[in-house]
Amino acid sequence: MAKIRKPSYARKAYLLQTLVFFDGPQVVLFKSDRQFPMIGLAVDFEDYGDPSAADFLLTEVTDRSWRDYIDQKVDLRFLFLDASKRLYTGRWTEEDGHTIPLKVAKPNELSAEFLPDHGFWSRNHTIELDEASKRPTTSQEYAIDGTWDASDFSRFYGRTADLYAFLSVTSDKILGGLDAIKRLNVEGLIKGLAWQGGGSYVGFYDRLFGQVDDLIPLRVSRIAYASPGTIELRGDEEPLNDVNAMIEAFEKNRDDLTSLYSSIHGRLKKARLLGAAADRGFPNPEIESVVRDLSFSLYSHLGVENPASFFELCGRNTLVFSKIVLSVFRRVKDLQTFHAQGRVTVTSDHREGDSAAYIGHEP
Amino acid sequence: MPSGHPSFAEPLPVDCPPEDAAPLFKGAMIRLAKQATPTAADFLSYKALGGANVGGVCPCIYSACSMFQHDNDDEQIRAMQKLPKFRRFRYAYVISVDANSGLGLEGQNKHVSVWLYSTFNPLSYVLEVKPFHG
Repeated sequence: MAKIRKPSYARKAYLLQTLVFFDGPQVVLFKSDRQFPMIGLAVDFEDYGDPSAADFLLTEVTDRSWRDYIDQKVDLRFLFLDASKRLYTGRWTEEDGHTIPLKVAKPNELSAEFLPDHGFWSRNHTIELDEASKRPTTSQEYAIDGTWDASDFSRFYGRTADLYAFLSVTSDKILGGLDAIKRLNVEGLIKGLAWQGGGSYVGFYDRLFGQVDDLIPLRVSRIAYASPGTIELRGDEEPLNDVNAMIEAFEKNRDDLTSLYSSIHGRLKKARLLGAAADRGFPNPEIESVVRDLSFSLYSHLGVENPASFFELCGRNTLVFSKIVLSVFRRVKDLQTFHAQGRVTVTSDHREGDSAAYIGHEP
Repeated sequence: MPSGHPSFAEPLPVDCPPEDAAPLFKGAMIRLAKQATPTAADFLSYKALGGANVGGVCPCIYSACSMFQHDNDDEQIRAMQKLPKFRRFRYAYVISVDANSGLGLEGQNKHVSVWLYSTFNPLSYVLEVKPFHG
């Protein structure tokens, strides 16, 4: 069985948040380009004094270690002492913005003076941990069978990612509800698209996922290319479970959902609104009202929360709202097809704890 | 942020201090230092100290002086000394402050970003120099 291999070492890391600030950032949480949580510690290397840069010693950490650190079962020093983890150095300049370039640490950079002493705990942070960094993580394994080509893998992951992102921003709980939606500017994203053809939908989900992915990444953590084989996805527990719940809901209510979809689609088609711009009006208020009600119903039956909130995000535009709801239906249907064909079965749901944890993988 | 206050000790970016900064409460605050004798340089902002503005730090915070609220629990100061860059910061200057000293914005664990007024000379308000030798 072939497996996806990650690069053997990280080359850069992306800022998630500063955890300790006192005369500059002292302890910083990053995400490495290998998608692992990474902790950075401000140090003074020999040429300290260069005002244009800040030096950091960094290491990737496992989910378990990070969770243990947040739960105060281990201290900061422990994260840097795990012999199985490579240490890195980073010289961070203002021009680097939110990215720090990494180098594998040289032996002379690993002396004790650059490590924290025992006794610094997460309770000593001076900045509260972002909610997204506390989210529980899960790995979801899917058994796959039958014939799969590259486009099938891509489609399966793509549909899952689309729904993962959509469910993340429409939930009240996952990213903090409306605050997150405002922060991610979902409203602006919806308004910025024409909604006249497939490009708008692809653009919508791609951009939505791109933003959500910064906060609660979804990754293919393992693929065993075989028949039968496995795909393992790793991401935030709640939207991943919600995607599965959507598939189950679709299987149970396929006829009702399909009927709702056809009713909305048929009415839009008859009114020549399927390819119309977002600002095109309905032929009359009655049709608009019916389409809105049907769309609300389909939205709810798909198991998504708060249709009224999402309708507001769509600028109370029935045409845009209904088109997005139809697009969600199509993604659920497409994903469920893999299950219906017997090619995918959810085999495990490895919960990794219900307390504070960061999304990532085991380096 | 209250209006009509004195000018600040350091030039600040536009819109700084932030709106939620407030006059300091009457009490004592702590500034960490390497040596036992306080100097004016010990109360400069991270920006004035020449630090690089990295870490996604707001320009206002970057231009503030980091302090801790003073209480009898020294745990946070001892914890800071566990970090490599603060291992040699073995003194805590306890200074008396009030609303005439400057504005502050409280973080977590009693960390306060302080924008001192130009009319406030912290060296004149040092109550105590507390040694922390590990």
